[in-house]
Amino acid sequence: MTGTSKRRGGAMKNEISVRMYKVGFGDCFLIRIPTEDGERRILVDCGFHSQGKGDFSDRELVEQIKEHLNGEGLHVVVATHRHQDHISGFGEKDLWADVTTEEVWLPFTASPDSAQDEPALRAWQGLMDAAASICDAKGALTPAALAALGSRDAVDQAAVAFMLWNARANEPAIENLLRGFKRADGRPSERRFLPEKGDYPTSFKTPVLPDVKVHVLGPPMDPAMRKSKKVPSTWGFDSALAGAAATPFDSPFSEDWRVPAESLPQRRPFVDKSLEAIRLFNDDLMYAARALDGFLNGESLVLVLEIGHARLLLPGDAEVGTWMTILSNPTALDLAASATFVKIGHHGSHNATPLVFVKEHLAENTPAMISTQEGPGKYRNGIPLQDLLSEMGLRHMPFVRSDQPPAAKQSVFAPGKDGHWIDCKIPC
Amino acid sequence: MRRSPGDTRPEYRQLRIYAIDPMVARAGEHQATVQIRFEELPLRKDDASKAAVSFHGRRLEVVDVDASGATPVWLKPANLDDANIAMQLGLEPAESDPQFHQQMVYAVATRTLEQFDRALGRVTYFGGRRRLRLVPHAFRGSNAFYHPKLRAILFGYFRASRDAPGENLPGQVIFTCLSHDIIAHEVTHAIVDRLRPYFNVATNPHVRAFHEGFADIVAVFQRLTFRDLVQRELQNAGADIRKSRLLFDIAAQFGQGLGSGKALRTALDSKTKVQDVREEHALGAVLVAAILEAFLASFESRSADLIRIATGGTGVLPQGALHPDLVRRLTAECVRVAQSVLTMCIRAFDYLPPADVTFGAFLRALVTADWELNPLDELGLRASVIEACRRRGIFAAEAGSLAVNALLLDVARDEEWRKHEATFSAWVKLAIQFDIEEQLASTPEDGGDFFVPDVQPQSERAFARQAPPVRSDFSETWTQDDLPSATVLGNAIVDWFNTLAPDERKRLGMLPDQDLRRPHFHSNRRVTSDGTARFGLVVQLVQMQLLTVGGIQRAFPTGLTLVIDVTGKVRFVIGSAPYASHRQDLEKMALSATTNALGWPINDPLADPFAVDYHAMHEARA
Repeated sequence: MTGTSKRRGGAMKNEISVRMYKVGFGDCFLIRIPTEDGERRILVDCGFHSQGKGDFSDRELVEQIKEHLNGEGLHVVVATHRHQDHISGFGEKDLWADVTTEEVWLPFTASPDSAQDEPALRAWQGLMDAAASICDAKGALTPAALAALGSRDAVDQAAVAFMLWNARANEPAIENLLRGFKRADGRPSERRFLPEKGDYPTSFKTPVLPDVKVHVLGPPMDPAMRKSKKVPSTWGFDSALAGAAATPFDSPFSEDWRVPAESLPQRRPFVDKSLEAIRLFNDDLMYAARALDGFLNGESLVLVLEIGHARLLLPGDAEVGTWMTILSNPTALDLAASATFVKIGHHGSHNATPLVFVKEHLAENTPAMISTQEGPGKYRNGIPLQDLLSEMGLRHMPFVRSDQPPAAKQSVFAPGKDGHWIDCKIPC
Repeated sequence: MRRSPGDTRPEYRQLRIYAIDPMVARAGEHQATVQIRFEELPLRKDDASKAAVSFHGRRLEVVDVDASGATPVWLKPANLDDANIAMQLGLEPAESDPQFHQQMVYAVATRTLEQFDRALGRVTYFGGRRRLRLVPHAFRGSNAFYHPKLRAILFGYFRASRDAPGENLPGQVIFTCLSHDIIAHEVTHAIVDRLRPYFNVATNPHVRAFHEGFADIVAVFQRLTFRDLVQRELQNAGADIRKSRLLFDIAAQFGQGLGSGKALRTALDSKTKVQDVREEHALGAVLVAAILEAFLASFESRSADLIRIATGGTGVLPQGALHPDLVRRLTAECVRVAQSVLTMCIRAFDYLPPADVTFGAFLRALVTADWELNPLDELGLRASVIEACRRRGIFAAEAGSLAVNALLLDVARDEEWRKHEATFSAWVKLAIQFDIEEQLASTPEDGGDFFVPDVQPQSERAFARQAPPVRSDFSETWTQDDLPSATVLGNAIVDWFNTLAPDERKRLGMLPDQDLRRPHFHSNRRVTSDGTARFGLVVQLVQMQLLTVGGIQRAFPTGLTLVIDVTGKVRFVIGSAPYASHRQDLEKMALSATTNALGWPINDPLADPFAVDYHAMHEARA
């Protein structure tokens, strides 16, 4: 039930509360906003990477959120993009059944109709499905997939597994987001696929969030900026998908055209080492996995919630293309730079927050939250980025990481019970 | 005219190719027949008891090996000298016939080489007179690139996107070697590497842009010389050539196969100016657009009288099909202008500085080369080029104005150069001797190649990039020429340089204290429009300038191109702006290689901000 909340944990007047759950390598934020008509609650993402678990399992996370909601419903559920580490929790359909939400916001690329305008999106969806076929729910690659990565070493294989698990289509979660949630009055929740049509950057108000103006700074409509333009060829996936039945290599030309091995001359125009070097140029599974990772990050919603004096900047995992679009558009840049709170993108990686934005555009003292967890392997190396943390320090930005308790003197942050979450209060 | 019964050697060979990517146009309409000089194409057989794995001509070798699987697959080479094949104008174009693919890469590569031969008035050999290898099915990828260390052009193949294949069949295999544009583009890179090896150091954003833009120009304009194709397109487009996407879309099938639904690049671009873009591919596209615009302006003015005649002065062509005679005449004009544009662009090479090229330098070289050889400029191309470049913001800053005579390169008036006329005259004679020797010399054979794989640990390299960067060590690319006269001339040039006192060097516009790199030179022998031949010599004098950029001391090539007359008089001295004047550009480029796109310092040991990486350049385009 929605309604004014004077209960414990509710938002005080003139103060927005942002609660970051300690999910590990993932994002889950519960935002409480005071409005004229009472408190409004927004859930932004709910998930984590299976290899980067924090304090909760998926079920425990949803149960914790429900405990904090204390029987009340949500007003908006936002899924910034379809990476597992942002949506895995939404798959627990039975647990969500009794949580109502008025609206569900998703990037337009996740809309079932999006492929009509942009046929390439169907191809990307296909790759997500393929990723689900070759990487199981526990994160293990099929033997065929490992064979397809035969020329790469264990470190690279681990990185590919990490990316593919994250990119695999999570049917239950996406189904729930697209069709599962219900409003307080029993009707299906209204879905918004953002940005809606209009000049960039679009903005809108919804009756569900009175006094709140929502600006949508991403994803950009231009596929090139979302890294959507070039769909990787499916070689990498094909051989992995075909499984044991596939021959290890499939030349497009039959035996008739080939020189039999026994007739090959001793001296050939290319020595074997050269041929090995040429093989490195194959667009293999690793190439496709990285492309898919970039595509999904690129579809991230970038929202600025304008509430009174407050501006909450929520960029999901938006990468370079989206940021270039923002930085090159004065209106969008002004909106982003006016932030009075920032959720740092992509767990604090080098790929999601421009240096120039922190150095020159964000105001000093802007509080920031980073939902992150350090871990091994090539992909997680440099997450969160030390240079970014230093830069924020130089700007006197109070920031907190989900994997470390806030410093005692940072009064804007307050840890939750046993450090399972951290709260931030933003005046509005 | 043959004189004896045994005299059956043909002058030309005709081979069929796809002129436009196979899936883009309807069946039959995308073929063309290419005419190239006849040369024997024997199968390479070092060992009589074994099979051949390649066939070769004088300058090219087609090696059909597929390195993409765990075991390399060698495909049987085509025997294009086989009577059955030769009498049908080569193998029939078929996507499923790998030997046709071999024929196609050979034909288009040779045609492209011949464009350079004709324009430059000499046979362009690759380094060391060794053959350039063409590998039509080298790896599985949506890319094709020139690999300087392997002395090869590697063509990838890939599957069209199943869900968004564009014009292709879903899941169809697409071969980059079947794209005329891609073959011509890559061969151009290989030739430019030979003509200007120091362009492999990207010392300003125009260098990479020039590589890509120039290669696209060759591809597009060469296609515009295929008479049958142009004729069909002009008929379809109702003589409004701008309406023909097929003529101007570069590598259409390739782009569509990637799922973007569009051709890879469109030459008929918007009105973007050089000042509006910074990204190197976008810059290259501006250059292509400028030259294209010049071509269109010239073609339209040349065909204006035909249109006037055909329409009785109204200028409005009738609905429906055009009269075939009109189309034929328009085609002839189009092909003539396109050929002239291409020749003009290639000839500009002799007038480019040896390093640090800019669009402005190219413009001046274009204008000068054309003026030297075509003083009358009947096609009005020179003026069109200057105007089109002006509209795109391509200027020669030091020229001061856009008048033709301002754009012409400065004639070397300096007394300093006159002093050496006798020496230079001796050089010219040696160069002519070298020419003769080169024509008579055979191609050196070698059993393998000189490639040494990078020694980076596998995972470092593999995660940071898909594969090692593909760069040319410009000093060592291919091997040294070893013809006697080449050695003598090379030594003569270096000796002359060493006799110069430091302040003399400075007066001549060179660095006082750096050694001369091994000089590149060639004779040039051209026939002007009034029929007289001029002999001369073009020498590239290059020194390495040491500068600290981005905290690291690096060597940047700098130098002069001398265009020397047969009398020893230096007609032109062509250099580039001193690095001191655009130091900031260098700093910016160094910075961009050590930071990622969002500005954070990255630690990539392989990053060389100034290298021209042929593979990466093309990866970034799609």
